[in-house]
Amino acid sequence: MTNLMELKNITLNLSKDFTLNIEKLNIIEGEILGLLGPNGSGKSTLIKIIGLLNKPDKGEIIFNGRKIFPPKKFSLKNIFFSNDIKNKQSIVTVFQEPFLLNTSVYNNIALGLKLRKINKKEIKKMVNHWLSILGIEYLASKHSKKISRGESQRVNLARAFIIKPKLILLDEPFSTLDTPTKNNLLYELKSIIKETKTTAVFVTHDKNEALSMVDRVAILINGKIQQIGNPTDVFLNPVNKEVAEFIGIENILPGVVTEIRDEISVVKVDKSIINVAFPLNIGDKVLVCISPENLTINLKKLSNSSALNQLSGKITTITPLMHFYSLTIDCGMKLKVYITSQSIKKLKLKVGSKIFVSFKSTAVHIIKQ
Amino acid sequence: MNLIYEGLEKAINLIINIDPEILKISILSIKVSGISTLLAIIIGIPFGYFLSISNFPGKKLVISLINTGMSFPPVVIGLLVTITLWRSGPLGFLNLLYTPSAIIIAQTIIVFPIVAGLSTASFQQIDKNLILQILSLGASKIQLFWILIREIKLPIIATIIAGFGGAISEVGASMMVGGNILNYTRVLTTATLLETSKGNFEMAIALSIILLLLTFIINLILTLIQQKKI
Repeated sequence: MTNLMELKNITLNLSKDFTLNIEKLNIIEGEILGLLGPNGSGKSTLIKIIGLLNKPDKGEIIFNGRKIFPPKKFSLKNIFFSNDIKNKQSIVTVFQEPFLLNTSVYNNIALGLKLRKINKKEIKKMVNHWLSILGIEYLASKHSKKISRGESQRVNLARAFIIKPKLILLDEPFSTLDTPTKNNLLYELKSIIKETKTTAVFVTHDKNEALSMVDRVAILINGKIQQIGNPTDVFLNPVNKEVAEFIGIENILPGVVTEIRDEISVVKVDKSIINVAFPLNIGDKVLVCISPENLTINLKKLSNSSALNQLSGKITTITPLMHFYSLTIDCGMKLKVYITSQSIKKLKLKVGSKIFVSFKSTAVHIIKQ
Repeated sequence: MNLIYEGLEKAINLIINIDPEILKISILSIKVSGISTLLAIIIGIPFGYFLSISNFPGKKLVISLINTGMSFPPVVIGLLVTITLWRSGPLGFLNLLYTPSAIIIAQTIIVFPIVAGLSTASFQQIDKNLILQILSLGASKIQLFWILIREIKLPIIATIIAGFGGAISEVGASMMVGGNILNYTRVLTTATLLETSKGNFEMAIALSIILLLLTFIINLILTLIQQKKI
């Protein structure tokens, strides 16, 4: 596995209290790297740095085995012309908005080839090829301002892929589209990336999009890459509180290890005791992460259950969500639990009901502090 | 009322019979103002482009100086050019004072800030992300310039119209640096001024009508180009 691009110690000061700081980020040739993070985490800025559209304050960028930042020397050419246009020409960015030029769809898709002074015959062949791959032959002679959003984004993709980039950067390309349009495009996009063997960076704030699209995922929060790896791995084992919160683990509670029994560590959280299947030492300060969907509610304490944790508590709120209910429960600590409306009816749950919350010791994820 | 009526009649006669003197004056006017507008465009539009896409300390100061230049009185420019081209002045050795070239120089200086200022504003209203998108597709800064010009065709042609209007309607500077010499540096505006001061109203009205007609025709052509669909 060779690195197509390496970023080292990149810093860029964006405002008084926000600095993008990328210690190390490698983009492996042929992969789809997901860049995931909340709004304002610096994703778009990082993508502009990778796309050579924005210069960092400090750091080093290696592309295709050659150091391309910092540039070797200061010259007039660097100011008035794009510095090192060749590198720039093999990286292309697809933005959230299509930003089409005020001309026909055909001319928009041909733009990159015209900039590279390709002859007209070849351009025509290539444009027709990409029009058909994205299924938009019927748009060719239409004006770019007279087509729908979904169609515009297809034109945008054709315009980017036609130049055969080594690296394509997709900055939340479909976030303004409706769900069915978006899902179709995501599927097509992935197969185009894989068929053309293009390396891609896919920016999103949607966990599911990342899971279906990417080979590796990097989590960017507060201008720093917090974790990078296989997406299922990252989503199951967040390394810190920020990542855990971002990926939607709602119960994140601080605790201290008080006892070790066989493979089970006993953690004191608030006024309660939790058993976790995770190797720890007495006195360790940890964050206990439990997803709301891993919690079960019972009316009585179960005598023969594989769930090691059974805590008695009281329901404090019941909030209806789209497909289920979200309950908060006070059982010496505050827990969020998801259950279906059926269960609510069956168990006759209401605010103030006394219940037991149970979960397996393996359902708990631990972040050491 | 009579005065205007007679003036109009005489004017129409002069135009229909193509008075050779008026023809010469008109051609010189178009030539001088056309060349100075062209020069101002060649310098001013790229100037506006680089001003809008680059970042440097003092950028706002430069923009505000250009904007001030847009409303600079032509008489003051005329005075500065006269002093510069005066026989004992810094560029006196060129012997340009009281020549058509002197008028071109003065008008170019008058029109440049109009073209530069308005085109800076036109380039600045382009979405920054559109610029990034074009650069990301591999455009050099010069290719970017030509693509953006097509994107802002409407305001750019409006800029040219404003620039030409400033040149052709200006009288103070042309008078001072050209000298209003018959068959040499007399243009429509300076001729109108002279005829009016002589009380020769028919001639003045005729000249004014021609000036208005010329301006109208040239603006009509530019507007047709501007409003043309792709």
